[in-house]
Amino acid sequence: MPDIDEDILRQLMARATEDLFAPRAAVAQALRRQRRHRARVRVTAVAGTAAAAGLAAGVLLPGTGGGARPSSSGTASSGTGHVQLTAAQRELFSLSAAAAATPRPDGRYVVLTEQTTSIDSGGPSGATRETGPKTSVIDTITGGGVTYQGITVTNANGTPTLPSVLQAANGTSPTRAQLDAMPTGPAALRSALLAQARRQIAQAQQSVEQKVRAEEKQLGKKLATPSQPRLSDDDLVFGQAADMLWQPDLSPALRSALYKVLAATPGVRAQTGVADSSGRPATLISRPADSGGYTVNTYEDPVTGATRESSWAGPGRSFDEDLYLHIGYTDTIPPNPYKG
Amino acid sequence: MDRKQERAFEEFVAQSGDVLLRLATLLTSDQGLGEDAYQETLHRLAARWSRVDNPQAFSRRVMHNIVIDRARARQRRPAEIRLVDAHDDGDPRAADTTSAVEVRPVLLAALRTLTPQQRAIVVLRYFDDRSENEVAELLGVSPGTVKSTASRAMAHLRQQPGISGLLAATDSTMKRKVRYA
Repeated sequence: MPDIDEDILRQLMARATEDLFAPRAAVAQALRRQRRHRARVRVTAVAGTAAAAGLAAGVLLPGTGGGARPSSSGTASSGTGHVQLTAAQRELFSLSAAAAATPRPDGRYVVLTEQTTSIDSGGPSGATRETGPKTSVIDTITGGGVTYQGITVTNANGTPTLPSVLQAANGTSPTRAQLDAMPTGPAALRSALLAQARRQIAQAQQSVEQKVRAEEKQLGKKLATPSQPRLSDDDLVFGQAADMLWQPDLSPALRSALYKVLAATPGVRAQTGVADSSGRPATLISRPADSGGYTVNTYEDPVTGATRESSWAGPGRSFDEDLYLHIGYTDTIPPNPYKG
Repeated sequence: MDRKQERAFEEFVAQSGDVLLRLATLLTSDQGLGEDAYQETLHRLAARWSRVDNPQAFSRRVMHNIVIDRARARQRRPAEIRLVDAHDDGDPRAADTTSAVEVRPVLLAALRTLTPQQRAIVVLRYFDDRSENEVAELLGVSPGTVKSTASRAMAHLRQQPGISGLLAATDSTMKRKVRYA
């Protein structure tokens, strides 16, 4: 009786999964990644990672609280390994000093030019490649702005075109006033970043619990609340700090403080002598993936402490990268450079 | 994604997230892999949100591709499945209302004996309640392929010792329900 079997299979599949609830953290994580994109309405990017070649490298050992811990294997290894001393801290403090000494130019609008390339091998139309330049104009007073892009998309369906001008509503990016209101003492900043992350997690957890209770009512039986990914304070601080460094309009004091926070965060790696995707010398800051399996890498200009490239690597082949070609300031919105 | 779109995305996930996670669990036939596939699906959906006309169809297509890609990458061998272990946890026929935690390992183990394509067709057809034509369109195959694959997959599932036990248990429960309804 195949009909019965199919009905029963249907029932078994429903029953076997009825206690599974989507963790809200997954949405938060997807949106967090998109928020990185939102300010420039970006289209994702990839570039050959130049991260492989590190000359000096360091990693803060987990559990050291950021303090130095002598390591028996530890000093100045000659090659690619991670020196288990405070090399990472030295590099981060050096970036902090560089950022503090680099003034923020005057001008209402930040004009950020990027090169973006995206290769998504598993989309519904097969492999999709998106590549091209992009210029974002961010209004530092309203947080709105406009993005001009010359992105070419190629996939199995041909070469669909993307709009060349995208408007960003006010509040899309943090305003300068909001950024300047952040504390600039490393301890206070760490606390603020942690509080911000915890607020996001609490909201997510609350929402999951509400959903489970509603489902319990409907089913008339008790259900287990699904567990959230267990992230340590250091995971949370690194995630928030890396996102913030990605913002182009930070004050020298805030950018400097963010590097100090990272210097006090166990597990943070800093590799000097690497190059970004365009071959410019950079310091690579990274931290092994959190429980979601995601790794954020940021390449910093060792001379100014500015971010040159930021990449996000997820499980599988998911990978995004922003390569900053130029950041400038103006008082008027420039015209679309990709028109015509 | 602007804030309005972000809210729409959150709303979509609030409404469909549980079903998508359950689909992912069945499509991967593994709870942990299912969570990963679900997360990755959300990322790809979020990345293309402003250009997606039909998020329900898009998310299923993307999820299927993710599952297929990863299955290829892992080159998982069905021989590794331990049906007996799952079946020995207790005779499922003993309980009328077999709970999710009891049914899940047996069902997932049985689903693992199917190819990813067979699994996708069975899951979309019977769990997601899609018509043969809809499944064909989602997976880019012909309706005839959906029909024949589903039929072969069902025949295969019936031969699995764990699933046949569950089928028998649920069959009698259902028949009773039907009779007294």
